[in-house]
Amino acid sequence: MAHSSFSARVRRGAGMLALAVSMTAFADETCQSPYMTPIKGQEEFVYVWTLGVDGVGDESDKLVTVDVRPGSETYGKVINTYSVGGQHEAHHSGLSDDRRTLWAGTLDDSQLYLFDIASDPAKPRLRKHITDFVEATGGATGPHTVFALPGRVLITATSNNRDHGGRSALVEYSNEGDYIATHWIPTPDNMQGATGAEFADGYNYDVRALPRKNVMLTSSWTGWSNYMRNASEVMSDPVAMKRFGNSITVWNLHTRQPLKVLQVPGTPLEIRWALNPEHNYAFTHASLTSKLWLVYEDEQGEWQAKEVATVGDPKKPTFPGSIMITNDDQYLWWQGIGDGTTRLLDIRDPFNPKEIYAKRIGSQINMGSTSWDGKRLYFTSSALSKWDRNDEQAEQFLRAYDWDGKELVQTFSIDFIAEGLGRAHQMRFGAYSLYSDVTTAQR
Amino acid sequence: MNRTDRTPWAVAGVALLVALGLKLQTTGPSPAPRRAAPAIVEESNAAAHEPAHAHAAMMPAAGLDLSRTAEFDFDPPVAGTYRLPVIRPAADGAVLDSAGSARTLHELYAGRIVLLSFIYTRCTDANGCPLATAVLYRIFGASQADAELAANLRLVSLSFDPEHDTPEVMAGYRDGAGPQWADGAEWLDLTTASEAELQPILNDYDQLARRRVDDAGRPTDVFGHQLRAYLIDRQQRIRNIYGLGFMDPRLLVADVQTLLAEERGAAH
Repeated sequence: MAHSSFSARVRRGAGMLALAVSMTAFADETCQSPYMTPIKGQEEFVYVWTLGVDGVGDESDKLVTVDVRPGSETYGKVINTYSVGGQHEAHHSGLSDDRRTLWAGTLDDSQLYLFDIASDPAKPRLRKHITDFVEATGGATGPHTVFALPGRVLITATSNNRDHGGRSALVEYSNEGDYIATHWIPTPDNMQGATGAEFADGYNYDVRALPRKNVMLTSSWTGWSNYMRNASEVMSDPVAMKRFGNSITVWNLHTRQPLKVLQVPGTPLEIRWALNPEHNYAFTHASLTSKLWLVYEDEQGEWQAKEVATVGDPKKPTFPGSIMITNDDQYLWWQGIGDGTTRLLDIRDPFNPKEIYAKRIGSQINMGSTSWDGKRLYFTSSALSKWDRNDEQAEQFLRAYDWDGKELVQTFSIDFIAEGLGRAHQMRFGAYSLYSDVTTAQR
Repeated sequence: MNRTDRTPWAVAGVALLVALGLKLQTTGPSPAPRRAAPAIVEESNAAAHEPAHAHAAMMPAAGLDLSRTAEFDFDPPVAGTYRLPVIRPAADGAVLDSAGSARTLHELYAGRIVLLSFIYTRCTDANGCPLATAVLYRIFGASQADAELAANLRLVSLSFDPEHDTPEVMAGYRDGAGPQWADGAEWLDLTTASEAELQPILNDYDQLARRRVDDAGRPTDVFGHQLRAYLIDRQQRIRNIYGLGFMDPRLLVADVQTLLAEERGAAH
């Protein structure tokens, strides 16, 4: 192979610099960190972080691996489980930037389980168990979102070890699992230079970044004293109901400094940035009010928040647990915990979303995941062990669907109770194709 | 299933509408949780994990274009106004310089702030080595106009293809020595003697680099790799890691200058 001169190499690199960010932004499963290795084709496995249930199987939290390879003899079947022993309130998981490690967190006792999903994607194995998250972080508890950055992860904690309320922090760990830093969410007495003190509740939930604008957003939920308490008790307790977040914090991504706190009432949860390099906005869903909000950069370059839609019947809140945006920024999927229904919104005008499709998936759904091409969707049922419905209609499942642009058609369903697994929660995709075409001494 | 409430979401509807009408507050004592609360742990001094830093903002490096681009559509942070926490120690390793002399990484890091980039010279990956090299080149250009950068920064390109990238090849990577490299930060082009000496370095830096195989399973000349660059301070600790989306020369230079500001602050 002919070798380029250095000057030609630099010219090529400089030209590629112009393309690099936009190429990355289009190349993930639509809602993951833009720094993360993407699966552009067929996902092969779905990893479901699952809560243990009394009387079900080994009653312990576990990572469940489901085969989703078309044509596989075990398609739509559970092919592996890794139990971590005990019930810790398994909740969310996230991938490292090299996609070799799946970090899985627990909300009750702040454990972090680091699974190796590269050595054999079909059989994740525990690489490291972090037990000192609270001590290392200076009192942050309840690790929630794990968001990949180069060489490390950002973790949103959801509570604290002092009052067990919603004030919490962003935490950084290296990919090896070593603690790096804690960044507390702004509060009126600790704004750290940010504006919007009147809205700064200090609460946390999700984090998502837009590198092109050097900005990241965090949302706001509630703390341990609410999420580890029976939902009906919380919701009938006026004092407890005041302890839900109502803010979005805008941060300088590179310096991890908060810039501005925006008022977003009704507990905004998941954040989803648009992917088009000319779209400087993100959506979030207010779970207590069933409203969709837009966080956008205005003409003066300031970040603003605006309510843009009420989804479902306002008298019967859907309590959305997750949203997904399609890779062309044209549509958004919305999952309602309260009514078990997924809805599709046309968001081509982000200031005027319109619901165009709805389908009831089960008695309750929470998480949704879509393939990069948008043709396959997966839904799971559980929100929290003490907030899931427990009546005669209660069910726990993973259900998969094909989407042809008009209709969701179910391809398989796994009953997580009948299978002795537990409450199905967060999903992440895996694939041999990410690792299998090379040899390396590192494996 | 746990025998708790039947339909919490149905009960919630009216309660929520009423609750949201109340003035929201975020302080005050929590109700007693049903489960035993986690043990109270005294807040550790998280700040102890971070080195002291100077608060003095620094002027941007002379010769560096600070303009926004479509790819990095923001003003760069002011150096010295933020912290760079320690990520981990920068590992040592046995390398060869472009003259073929056996050296160590720590020996070559000594006395300077280092920007380390893993590359291989045959890389044609649009988002890989050419991009990393272009960014280092821009930083080098800035250092030619900024004496402080030139005096304190060292750029290091380290190949992960020792089979092809011998010291002679690395010596020619930037078209050899010449006046075009004068007056700027020192730039070293390194390789290793063998895979055996390379792999511990890659492992320690968590640098993914894997030789691809063809359809018949035969090794090719192409490496799958993840774009990474590392900022290493004078105490030989990694202070930042850059990847695709972060490879903005303005950010890297601001970080170098932030470390310089930190050193000044510590000195006082």
